[in-house]
Amino acid sequence: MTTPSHPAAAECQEAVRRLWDYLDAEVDPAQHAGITAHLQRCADCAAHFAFARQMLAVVRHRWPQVAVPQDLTARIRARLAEEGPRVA
Amino acid sequence: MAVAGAGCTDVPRDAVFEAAALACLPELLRFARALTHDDDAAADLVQETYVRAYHGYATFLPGADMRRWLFTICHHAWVRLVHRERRVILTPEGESAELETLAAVHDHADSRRSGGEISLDTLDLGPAIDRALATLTPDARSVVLLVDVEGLSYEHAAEVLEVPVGTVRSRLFRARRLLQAQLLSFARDAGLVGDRPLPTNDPRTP
Repeated sequence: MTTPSHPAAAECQEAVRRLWDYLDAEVDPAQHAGITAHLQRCADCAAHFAFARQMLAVVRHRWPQVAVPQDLTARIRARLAEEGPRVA
Repeated sequence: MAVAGAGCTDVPRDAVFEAAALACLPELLRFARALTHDDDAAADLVQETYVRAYHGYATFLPGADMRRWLFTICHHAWVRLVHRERRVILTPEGESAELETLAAVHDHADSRRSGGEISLDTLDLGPAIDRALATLTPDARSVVLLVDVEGLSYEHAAEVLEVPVGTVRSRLFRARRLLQAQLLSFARDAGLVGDRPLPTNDPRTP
């Protein structure tokens, strides 16, 4: 990040308003470029975005694993067999 | 699955269904677990999902996303199940996704002011995530799972959950704010704060 040049508060508001959309790649290219440029000159907003990105990574990587019960696949196959031939 | 009596053309298609659908079992079970928050109920819901998918396979377009299709069926089955058993599942919806975003940033700014930078990289947050997820509603857990873990776009998550994209955004952002608040609290309790207090009059704080 570059040295902050104290962007206008309104510019910061606009950037943080789009924080999640930006991190989720749900903004259009022009918006993405604008926010990226803002983050390069605003250390505070950059810190907020970095923390949010960090939190998303934690959620993604630490989501509880769900072990598939050993017999579940067999139970599903048995249920499907009970259903008989598929009507298609 | 039994295909006795089925036409020859059904046999390979059923085999394809079984191979493709069962390959999604781990992700589908995780989604069902997010909805039900119960292992046995999740396993039952998954079985029901496969039965419905089996009968509806004719509606599945070749080349479409099997995992997303199964998520949609699973969610639909869960909604019907919960409506039947409890009659009420509606929770208040926050209409302003942007307000949720601003609130999340504000919370983080407050934490920085009071304790300096907080890093989530330096501690095992697994237990904290478990506890935080347990406090979310099924709707909130499922949208976080779909977008943050499974990587679905807002639009695709909306299709799975059968809600407007705006509802996905508001649910997702609110859930993230709640998760963030709990992780910040956990990090503070664990002493995960830097030794560089920030200015208390940061003009750029929203």
